[in-house]
Amino acid sequence: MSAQWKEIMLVINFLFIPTVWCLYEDQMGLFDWKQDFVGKVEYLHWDQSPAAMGKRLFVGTEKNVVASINAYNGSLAWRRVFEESVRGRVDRLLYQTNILISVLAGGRFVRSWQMGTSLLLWETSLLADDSIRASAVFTSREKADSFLVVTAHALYNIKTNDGKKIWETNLPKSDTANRWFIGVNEDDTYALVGVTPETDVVMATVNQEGTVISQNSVPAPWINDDTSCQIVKGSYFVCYVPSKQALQVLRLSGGKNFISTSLRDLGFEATSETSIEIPSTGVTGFETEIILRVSRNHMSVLTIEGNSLKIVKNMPQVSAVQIVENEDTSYIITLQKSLKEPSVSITGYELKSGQESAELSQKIPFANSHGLPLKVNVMMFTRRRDSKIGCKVAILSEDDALQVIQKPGRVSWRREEALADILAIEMVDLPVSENQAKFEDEFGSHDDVFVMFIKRLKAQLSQLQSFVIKMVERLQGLRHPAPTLSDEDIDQEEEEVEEEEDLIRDEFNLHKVIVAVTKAGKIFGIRSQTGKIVWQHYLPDLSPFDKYNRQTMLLFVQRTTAHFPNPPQCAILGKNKRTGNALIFTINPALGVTIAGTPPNGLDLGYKVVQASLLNEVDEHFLKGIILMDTQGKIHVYPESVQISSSLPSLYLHLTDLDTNIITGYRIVNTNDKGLKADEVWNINLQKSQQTITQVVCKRAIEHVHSQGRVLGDRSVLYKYLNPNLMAVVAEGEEPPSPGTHKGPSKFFSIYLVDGVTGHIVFHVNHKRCHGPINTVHSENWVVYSYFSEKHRRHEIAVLEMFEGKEQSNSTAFSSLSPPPQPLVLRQSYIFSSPLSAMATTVTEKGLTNKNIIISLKFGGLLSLPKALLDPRRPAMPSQESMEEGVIPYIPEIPIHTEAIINYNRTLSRVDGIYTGPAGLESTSLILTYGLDMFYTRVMPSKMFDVLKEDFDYVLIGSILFIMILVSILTQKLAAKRALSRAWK
Amino acid sequence: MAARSKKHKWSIDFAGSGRLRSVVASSDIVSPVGFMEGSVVSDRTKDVDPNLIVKRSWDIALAPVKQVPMNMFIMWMAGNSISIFPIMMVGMMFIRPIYAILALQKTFKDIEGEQAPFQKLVFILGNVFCLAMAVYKCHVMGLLPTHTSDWLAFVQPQERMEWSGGGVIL
Repeated sequence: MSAQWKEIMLVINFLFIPTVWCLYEDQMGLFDWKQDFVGKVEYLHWDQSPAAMGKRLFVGTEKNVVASINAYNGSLAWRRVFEESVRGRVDRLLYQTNILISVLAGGRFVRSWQMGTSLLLWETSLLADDSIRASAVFTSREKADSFLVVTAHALYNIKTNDGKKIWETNLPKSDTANRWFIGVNEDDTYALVGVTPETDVVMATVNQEGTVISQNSVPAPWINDDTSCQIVKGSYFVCYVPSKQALQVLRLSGGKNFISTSLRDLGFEATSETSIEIPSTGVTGFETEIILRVSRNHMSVLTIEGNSLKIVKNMPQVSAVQIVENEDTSYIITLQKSLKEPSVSITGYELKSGQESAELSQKIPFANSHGLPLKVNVMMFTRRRDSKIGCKVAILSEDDALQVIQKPGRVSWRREEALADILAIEMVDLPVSENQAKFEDEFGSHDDVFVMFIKRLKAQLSQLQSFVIKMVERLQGLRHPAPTLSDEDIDQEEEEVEEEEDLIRDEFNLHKVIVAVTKAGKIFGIRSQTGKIVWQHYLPDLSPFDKYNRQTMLLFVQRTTAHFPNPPQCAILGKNKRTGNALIFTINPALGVTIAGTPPNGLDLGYKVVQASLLNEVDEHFLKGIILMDTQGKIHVYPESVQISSSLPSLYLHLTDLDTNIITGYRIVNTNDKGLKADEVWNINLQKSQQTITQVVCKRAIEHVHSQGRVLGDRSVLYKYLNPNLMAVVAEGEEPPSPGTHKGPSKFFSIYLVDGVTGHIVFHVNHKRCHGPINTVHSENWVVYSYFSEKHRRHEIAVLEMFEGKEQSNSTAFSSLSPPPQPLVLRQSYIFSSPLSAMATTVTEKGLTNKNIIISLKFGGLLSLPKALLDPRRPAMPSQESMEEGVIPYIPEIPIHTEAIINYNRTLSRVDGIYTGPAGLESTSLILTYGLDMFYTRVMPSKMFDVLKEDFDYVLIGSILFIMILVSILTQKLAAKRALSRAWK
Repeated sequence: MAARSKKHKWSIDFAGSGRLRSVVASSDIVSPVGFMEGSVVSDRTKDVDPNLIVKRSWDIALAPVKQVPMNMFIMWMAGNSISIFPIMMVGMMFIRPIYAILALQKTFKDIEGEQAPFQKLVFILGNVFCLAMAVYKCHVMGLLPTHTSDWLAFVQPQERMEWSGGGVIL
């Protein structure tokens, strides 16, 4: 009978699990938000079609996206996300009046898009090599009926309306040339230049029928893949050579060699930024001028007259230039960032006369946090009303932001595209309210009685004051803004007011500040509740560490908000773009102000860092230190005020060298004469010849494990193996084909569980005929990883769980140096029916709540999967004991319930990672996925056990309670009366 | 004592109708024929039998022990699953001996005779035995925190002795 009962309970449990995750329809967007990004914009076009002139922007980005942006509010009209690999790379985005063509993956996919709806009009595939970028231009300046695409193999002329190839021509030296440039000559022949790195350039002239008229090759040993070059007037080829600090000009018709012009001769000083600027619309092939970027904020427009370079306009202090044409007049548009105030002045000059055009010039506010404007795209038009010229301006700045000016003098909207490339993320508590802070101050300090009494009085007075203010405000009703302000101003102002009020901790500490560090070197503070940006900082020198092509930046929370009156502090560690040294920047994450003593552009530490780690030790102001190891093996502590001598003998650091596959462990020791030093203790060689380490996954420091073991069916305890120093090392490799069997090479991967202190390999597992990408989650006593099984051609998720056994060898402390006996490792793998892109596990305040695994699926869903489903102890045959324990019977497949998809219908494209953070409520975990889209929500893996449900009927319960009390009082009275009357009988 | 009459010597009739409210002495009325003064059955029990007191005291002392078979039957009937009825039964099994022990003084007043101390002891032991049975029932049902798993929630996490950090070279 009891077994049956439990079975029923189990079934009921199962029935209820999924329903808890889903939302009601009216809860959409209440706890979550989503932001769409496109990534760093590479190509930008204003919609010039008569129907929607200036109403849309078309962009092609580095994140393999082609999108259309509404020019009035900056929202995405449509977005096409291509493959993440090189097959989705947008090489060119061609636009003319009502034609939008994207050339992807070196010309492999040429697609024409319907501009309003993003429908695919036609697609054609060219013979291409996707490692070589394709070039493409229209054959005429306006209303072209065909366009040219040059791939690694040939030149194609394609019709714009149906994608049919008109002709194709094989080009000379197409096997060695790595890049091709196209220009259109005045006599309507096409000039092509192919670059073979470090050898030569080949020139070819092709006529309109597609036959090669002439070809010639010129040696150019200085040229390589990064050399910036351009074809001017269809008859000159210009390159800038950084090594020679000179511009090289080659005449395409009969030129025998390059003519070198030193920058000095032109009156410029070369810098590392010097290059030929490619306009945001891409190369059109009809260029007559060269835009030369001399330095970060010095541009110059050059032209070629009679084989020699001539300066058209030299513009020091200008950081963005565009040459734009309107009704047969060419203008130079320049953007100059003011040094004193946060503003940018836009100035237009007539190209021929050099005269400033008053109609085009304007000044716009431009925050310092955007860096310098880098590229500008202006749409000019002549007003019908007064035949004056006007313009709409789109600006791309150093921080990857896109801003658009619709009306002169004001930025209509901006898109922070840096957020599409988040490298490090943390959620930080908001500060407590002013009154709360006063209380904290009162109880936190150790003053004498009199001072404390005064503080008490003050705190209560301020409470009274705020109460009175609140009441007065309520009496006055809603505030009305002054009528003189325009609508937009009010909007903005209201926004500001709202934010100021709200930036304090809420009751359950659910609202946080998300600190996001991006690849562009910009740091954002985002309100978790709304997704609005609270503060932003742009550090021009900050760039990610990029060893082994892995871009990493480190973000440490050195002090949380819990230590009032000390402000919270975050440290961002990256690489200095210019010096290559480590760059550290500290900030108060709640307010976004830099910590006193930090330079505004970050502190260059003066040495290169190989690894850094947050200390557990705090100084007298509760500030956690950071230890940094430099290339010499010396250990530095930041800030230096933190004393680590007391914890020194137990501090360890490990480094993984991906080139050699050697993991080395160090102990930090204090040498009296040389300061702190890392002493090598152990190393593991994982045989580079066979495999390559791809991941090293440690546990998260903020994680708490509440339960030290698992209760089994017979009510004994299986203690967890909770080694805090354990790391999971993933190495992927390929087995060579064995000569005996006729099988090809088969991929495999291994997972090593290594103790970070002693280097002891606790466990090792090898998966044959399986390959990555492997996503790994390491938490508590388990490791969950996903991979693709070649044998069964399906995705699988495997789980390893480590247990010490029924006895705990040391219940008070865990030391890797005197470890418990070899743990019992249980493992199981499950079929997962969908490809996935990222995995993370939920984290809660005390670690009491069950864990869910958050999985982002490739099709755009975000799955919240209970860890109980990924349990290696799921029995194939459920027994009495397993049922007693509540283990779910084994099913080989992990179900994907649609109710468990926490982002309901909001598809997430290309998720790079998932961040999970604890909220003040134990039941709740906050989730943020980042990548091309940002999505924030919260999950309750064990349901909302610590808060009353929203639909809790307070009135009913309250009235029942009240009636009950009333009735009990009444009956008491009646009973007393009755007793008395009975006594009288 | 023997002369105590069942009849009232006098009575006042308040409820009587009419104005004739008078005290009527009952002795004035002549007894009817065949009426005998005094009851037929004489109160002979008043001659106390000491054995009877002991017997009665034993009854009281052995009452808890007599409940044991009944309790065992209930225990067997209730089963070991945790649901409302078995819990109520276990609760009853607990409450009865506890009440009995609480009302010990009152019960002991009734126990007389030379065997009284022994009987009191038996009474207490009987109740304790009933309690023990209830506890055993709890144990069988798994309601007693006797396993390590029951104290797992109070186990403090292990203190971390060494700190390690690091990863792939930056």
